[in-house]
Amino acid sequence: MERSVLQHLTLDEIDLVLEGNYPEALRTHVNGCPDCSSLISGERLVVQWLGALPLHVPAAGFEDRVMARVQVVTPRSALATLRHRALATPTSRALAAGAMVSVLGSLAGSIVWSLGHREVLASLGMTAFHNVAELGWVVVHGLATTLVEQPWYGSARALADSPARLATVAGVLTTAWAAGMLLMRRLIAIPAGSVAHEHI
Amino acid sequence: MAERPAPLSALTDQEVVLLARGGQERAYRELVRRYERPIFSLLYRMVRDRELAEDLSQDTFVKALNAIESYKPEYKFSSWLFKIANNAAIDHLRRRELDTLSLEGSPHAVTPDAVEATALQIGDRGENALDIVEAKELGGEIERAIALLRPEYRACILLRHVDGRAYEEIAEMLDLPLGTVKTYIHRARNELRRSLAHLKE
Repeated sequence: MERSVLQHLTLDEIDLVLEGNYPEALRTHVNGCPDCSSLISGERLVVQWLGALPLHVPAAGFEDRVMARVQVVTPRSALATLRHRALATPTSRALAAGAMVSVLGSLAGSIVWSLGHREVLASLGMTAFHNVAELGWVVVHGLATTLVEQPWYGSARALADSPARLATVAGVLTTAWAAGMLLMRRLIAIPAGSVAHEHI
Repeated sequence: MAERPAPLSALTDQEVVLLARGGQERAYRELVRRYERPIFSLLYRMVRDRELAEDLSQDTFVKALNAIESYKPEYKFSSWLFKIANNAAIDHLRRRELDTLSLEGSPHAVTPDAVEATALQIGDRGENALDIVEAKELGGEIERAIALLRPEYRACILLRHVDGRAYEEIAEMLDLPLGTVKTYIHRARNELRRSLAHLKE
């Protein structure tokens, strides 16, 4: 008898019917077939009973007993994390060792070469200093020329002539900056309001 | 001005795990609080001994929380935890033949208080005394019928119809093909239907 019932509905179809989301043709078959109807009502009852089973509660103090055996993670620094990862597997250890040999080798090579070519290094240093200083002067000169050519330069210069006016302008700018910072802080702050159902 | 931290109960599992990884003990405790009942219930129904279920539940949480840094956030935390719990139960069942379900308390309990503390507790949902007795009897019958299922059927049907897990999730947790999970659940329902047929009246 059980076998003939199974021939009517596949496992997936039984699940569809139990979930209540099944096509009309299946509904018609279940309603018209006494075997399938009985099977479904029996399965539905079993599912209902299982769903109503209560959760069992472990003995009081369970959480503390677990925590007594748990080692809480200590947050690592970035360097410690890198070291932990580098030493985690044989492959990562080999890669880390290779990288370290390369870095130390390059460093040692540089030192040896520098000791043997001091005059070259000094000459290179002087040339580099001269070039940087010349470039710096060109940039400063260019900026100053551009500033003086601006139409508002005369008015700004007049402001700087009086200490009182200079202080007023500085005060206004400082106040505007402080207000802007305050506004930005409020905009990016995470809301600290209560959460729905927090009391439950 | 220091801002009040969000209550942990409002966070997702993944967010709580991140806090735990940051070294916050309260996050560990939150994870235990969230899952102690479902994990203990599953293990209790699997091994049918309250003290043993409690030991296995503790082992499950200790194993999971001590390995919290190896947990991959792309998976559900609950699936990971249930998988560890199920493995613990299956390992135990493979090692040992179990005695039948005791509704009256653990066979290891030696004092009346211990017997009372370890007796199978069926939920009280506010019914009157007669309802409670009937619910306990019905619950006891269902627990007994579940206890008679093969362990693999038991794990599947509990995860599906008591914990409400999806077939795919169960297959992943138990390392079984999807079709096998469906077959096990169908067979388990069939066996329960037969063994509980007398309750239908």
